[in-house]
Amino acid sequence: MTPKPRKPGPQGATRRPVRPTPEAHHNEGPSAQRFRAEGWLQRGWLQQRLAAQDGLQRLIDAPIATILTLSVLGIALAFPIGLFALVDNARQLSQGWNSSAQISVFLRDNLPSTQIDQITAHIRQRPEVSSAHYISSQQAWDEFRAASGLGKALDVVEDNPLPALILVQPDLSGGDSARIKQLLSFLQGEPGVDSAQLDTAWVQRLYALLDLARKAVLWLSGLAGLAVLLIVGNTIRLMSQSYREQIEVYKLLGATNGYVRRPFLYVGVAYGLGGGLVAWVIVAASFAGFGHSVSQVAALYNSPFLVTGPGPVAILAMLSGGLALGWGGSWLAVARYIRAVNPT
Amino acid sequence: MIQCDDVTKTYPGGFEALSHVQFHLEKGELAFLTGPSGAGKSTLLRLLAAMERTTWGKVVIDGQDLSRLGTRHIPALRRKIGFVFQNPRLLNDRTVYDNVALPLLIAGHRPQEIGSRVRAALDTVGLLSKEKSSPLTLSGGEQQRVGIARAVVTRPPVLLADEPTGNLDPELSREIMNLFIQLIQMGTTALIASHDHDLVQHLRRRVITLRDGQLVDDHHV
Ligand SMILES: Nc1ncnc2c1ncn2[C@@H]1O[C@H](COP(=O)(O)OP(=O)(O)O)[C@@H](O)[C@H]1O
Ligand SMILES: [Mg+2]
Repeated sequence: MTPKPRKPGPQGATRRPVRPTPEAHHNEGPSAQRFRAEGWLQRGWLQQRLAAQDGLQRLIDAPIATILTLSVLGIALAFPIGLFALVDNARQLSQGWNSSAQISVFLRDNLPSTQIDQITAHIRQRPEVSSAHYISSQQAWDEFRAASGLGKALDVVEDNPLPALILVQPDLSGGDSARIKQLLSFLQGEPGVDSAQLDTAWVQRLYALLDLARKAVLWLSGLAGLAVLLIVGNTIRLMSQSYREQIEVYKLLGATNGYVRRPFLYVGVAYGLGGGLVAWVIVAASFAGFGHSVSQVAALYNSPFLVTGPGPVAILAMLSGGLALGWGGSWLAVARYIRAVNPT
Repeated sequence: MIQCDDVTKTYPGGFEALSHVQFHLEKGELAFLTGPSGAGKSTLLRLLAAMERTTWGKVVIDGQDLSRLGTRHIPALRRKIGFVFQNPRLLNDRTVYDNVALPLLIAGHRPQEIGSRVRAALDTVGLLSKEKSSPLTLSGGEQQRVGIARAVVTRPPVLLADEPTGNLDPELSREIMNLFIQLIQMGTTALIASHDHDLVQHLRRRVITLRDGQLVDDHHV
């Protein structure tokens, strides 16, 4: 990270062709007056722009270190964003399975038909129920006999052992297990209901798993954010130490702590944003690669499932998160150091 | 413009580098600060540039009492002072031009508007042709002159120099000192430290002499 001499030449940030006018040394000239007339807003903007240029120059001066740091940041950020998109895909996929999640509500024996109608109507009123229909114990028995293929052999069984039931189709567009549980306990509490069973308990388990995965991804995001903060902080701490002599000279020439700090903050912002962009490229490339295979497999199962990468909100969150963390990390790393460096 | 009242500086450890130093420089006045090595010249200049604080007494620059100056106000004070160091402390990763431009940028000037001032400063020290060079490719005397150009480019009201000719041969030293005298004609108040007593005596200016931290002589040659 040792700064190398910059190439002198017209591309230098501070050089513009100007006629040499020695008189200007003795007389401030119109430019100085114009400068004083300018508002603080333009001055502030100018200072920010120059600091940003200076910060970028520092990154360009150490290209290998910059590329390595950006890669590390990109990988650290790619993990949570990629997993987040993965869990999102799984949620979308599982939403298609909601229709197969049925609740069988078994009724007590010998209920009067008026009470059965009442219970059915009551169940239909629930917002999380999309449909409910009654199957008498006789209907159930007939269906079972037809489906089992045992036919007349079952005539031996004299008493119909099957209870009457109401088949409930839950509407779970939100797709969370808490609502299913709520519905189940409501159904179990209904008078006249013997028991209520979710036919596809595995769907419930899947939802629980997805919930867990979402929490894990959030936790991972927090860890990745911390990693970014530490990586940027440490990189910039080392960088500021290699700039110690420069910091001293700046301070001797009358630079404020803020002035000295600013380029470093822009370096942090560039790291954070750049890391976010690298992460985006990594995740997009991974999804493009795997997504194709997944779609092929899905096509075999006659499913139109398409893997989608992180959406614009996730990308925006990643970039702004990277920016904020980069800025914060470099602030933490340099603010105290710069205040403590005193020219000798 | 520069006022030292009963200035005493005791370094941590108890060494008294300056004791009860008293002098006053009018606006536009130039004085040399001389005395053997270890007399306290650098210490005095560091007090004037707010790099150290006095233990006792008062240092006033342009009406500002430095012993009461908050840390927040030090940068603004330093922008009023041009400082030339024995080791010129140039930034070797920048061109000569960029080194001289630095104080103007720190003061908030636009890069496009400072070209003429930077070149004028480089011209007065005779290094206009080297503006695109790296300081590393310059000789010691040239580097020192770049340091001087950087110190005067903002035309500061106060100029402080600590052994600006310390590493140079006698001929170059005289040249550099004459350069200072030439630059001071614009109303700058200047204090130039040098242990080279003979050199200073030849320049026919006010000479303040320190010995063991005490002001032992202050007269116009
Ligand atoms: N930071 C310091 N801590 C302790 N003693 C110091 C420090 N700086 C200078 N001194 C001592 O103060 C005395 C004066 O030093 P200095 O001002 O550098 O003298 P000069 O510049 O005249 O050679 C010396 O004896 C030196 O050892
Ligand atoms: Mg000294």
